[in-house]
Amino acid sequence: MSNLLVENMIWRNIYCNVSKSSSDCIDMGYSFGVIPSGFEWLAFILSAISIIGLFINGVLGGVIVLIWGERRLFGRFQNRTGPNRWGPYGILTPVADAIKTMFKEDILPKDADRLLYNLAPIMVVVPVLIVFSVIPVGLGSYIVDLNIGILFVLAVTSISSLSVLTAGWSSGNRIAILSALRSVALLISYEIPMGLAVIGVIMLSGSLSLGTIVESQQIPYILVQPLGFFVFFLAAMAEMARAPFDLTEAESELAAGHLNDYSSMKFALFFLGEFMAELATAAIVTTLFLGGWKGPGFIPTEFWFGAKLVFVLFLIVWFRMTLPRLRVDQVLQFAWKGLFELTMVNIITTAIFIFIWPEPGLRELLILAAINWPVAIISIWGVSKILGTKQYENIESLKNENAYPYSFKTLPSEFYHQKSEGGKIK
Amino acid sequence: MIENSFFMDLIFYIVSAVIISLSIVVIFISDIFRAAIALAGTFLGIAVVYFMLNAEFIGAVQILVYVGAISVLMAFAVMFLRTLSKSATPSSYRPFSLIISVLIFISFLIGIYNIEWKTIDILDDSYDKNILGTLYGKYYELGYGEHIYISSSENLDSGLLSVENKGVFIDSTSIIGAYLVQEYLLAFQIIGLILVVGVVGGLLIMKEPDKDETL
Amino acid sequence: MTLENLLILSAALFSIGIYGVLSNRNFISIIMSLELIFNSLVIAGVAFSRFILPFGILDEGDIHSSTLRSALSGHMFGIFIIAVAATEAALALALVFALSRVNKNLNIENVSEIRE
Repeated sequence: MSNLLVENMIWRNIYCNVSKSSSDCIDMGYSFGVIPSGFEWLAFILSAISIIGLFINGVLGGVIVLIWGERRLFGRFQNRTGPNRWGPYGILTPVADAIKTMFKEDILPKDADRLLYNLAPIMVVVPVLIVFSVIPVGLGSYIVDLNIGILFVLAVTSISSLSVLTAGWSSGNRIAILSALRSVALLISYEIPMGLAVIGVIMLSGSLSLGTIVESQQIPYILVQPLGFFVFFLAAMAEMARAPFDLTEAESELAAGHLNDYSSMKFALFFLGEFMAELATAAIVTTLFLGGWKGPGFIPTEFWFGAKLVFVLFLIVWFRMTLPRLRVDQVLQFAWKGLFELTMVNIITTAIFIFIWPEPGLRELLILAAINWPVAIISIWGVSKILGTKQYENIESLKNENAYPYSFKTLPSEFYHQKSEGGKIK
Repeated sequence: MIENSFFMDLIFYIVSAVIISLSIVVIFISDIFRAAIALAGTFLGIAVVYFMLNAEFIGAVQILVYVGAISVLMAFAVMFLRTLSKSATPSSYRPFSLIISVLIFISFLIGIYNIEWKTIDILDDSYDKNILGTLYGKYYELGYGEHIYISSSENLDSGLLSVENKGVFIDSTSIIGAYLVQEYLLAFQIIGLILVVGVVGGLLIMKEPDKDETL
Repeated sequence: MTLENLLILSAALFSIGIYGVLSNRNFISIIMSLELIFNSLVIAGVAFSRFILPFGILDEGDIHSSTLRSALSGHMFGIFIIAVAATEAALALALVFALSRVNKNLNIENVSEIRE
């Protein structure tokens, strides 16, 4: 355990500067420190607290920049300027938002379950923060390199469905409960393709540890695993309820979903959890498929990680701005009939490859890339043909009441037989 | 450092107190949704115990399956049957079942304290430490008195076993992976069959009966 | 953290689960108590595989790889118990829905009425 900790650069710098005479630190050439021998546990606690503080503040700073950048990008995508008032290029706008949210009234609905209502925001934020602890940000800079890294990430993110349910139930509000049910159906469905998409990467690198996965990437795995990247990216977008899949807070259908009754700091915690999830997703995509901190040249590894992170975040914002929202049955169909099959194709091709070359070198990986790209394109084309939107291309078929699952016929007739009289809807 | 046994013991006692009290909440609380959340808390505490026992894989599976799926299923059921599951009604057998469960607990206690467990602690006294050292060819003493770390060759089949702080530390994930496709292959496939049967059976039970048929 | 401590934790969870199964009428509460019982079994298995080495490792000089790996039997049993428990929970909740459809009630004492 201790030799594992000392390999970790952040840990070594902090722990060995606190503790005076830990044998591991002396071996590494650290002989200074304040706390004498016999009190290693105190040094352990102090350095653990300072590392946790460091990472939480880093994540929060990242979230502030992310909110600002996303809003600026939204502005550009919608052909307007975006926030530009406070600070250079409006970078202090998220701070103003935070202050505004803090001074709002904290409302507790009459029917709310008080305990669970207060617990739900915490249950949203804590799992996402835990995810950051296993991500290697640079060569030797991570909090802990678990040997089950990616499995741990999948496990911890699965808690989020419980917190959404709690938030929806404890509000004591029909719309919140309805949207919580919808979003949990979505979260559970997309966990399966997300877990299966990682299996290709795990087979190639031979480890669950995120550090080992990064080190084993001779070329970024996006080249070798195009289907895995495609499915993982889309499933992760759905997991954090981003725009093509944002059933949870589809404003036009469900007000604000399970956040409907939350205000003030509790709402701010939900907001924070959402953006931290976006950051965590981008970090995991970077680590698994884009080579993590690896990069050519003498530039520090943390810079490469950050650059790739920003690129993935831009991709996410681009998707969110460009694609229209799916209907609830389309979303679940897409998970079970689309992404699930694609992951199976990916797993089978990768497994055959691993069976032939158990320890692939660079040449074999390039061969796999040459095989996998046509397979990916053909299978995505096939799935899109099967799931198809043919019935929507043909306008005539819309008049057939069975073609459209939620046809106008299911609504009471007054809804669509309304006629305007004198410019006013009756 | 983290090997400090007092520190680990303290964490273990706190976690097990949380587990026991939350499970008592699960049994006695009348609001079933709260019971489901308390159940999720219990499962998380148990996952922490697994992590402390160096069983990371089981801990992660515990969180993934129990907290992420089973608790959510329970809460789902409570939500759908909102009017039906307002309160957990106690049955008339309460005193009787209290006696039964206390008796079971006492008999467990008697059993636990009367058996002389041959734990790994005995290894230090009655067996030469070098037995393990010669078995794998590598033997390290890392500064701590009772801290032994034995790593084997890279080959998976020779195992990755070490004795750390008087407990067995095995890199459980890779060995469980090898186990599932070698010794326990049949059981693994049967589990898959059971899961399929469970899914199909659950769907059949859940399905709305046809109006023509009489149930 | 000794083996005895872990076994006591497991035994306590087991007896709490037994009490819950026997003393509740509500179907969902009974399923929750069953899950507690399954968990207590997994705790015991993992504790044994951490603290007790199989005899083959200690007695024989020449060690076979399968003997060494059998130190992890407890983990394997844990994984199988978790898989079976997940199936059991899904089936039991399907039964809850079926029961509520027939009975408009989740009382376990009315289940025998489903038969006819």
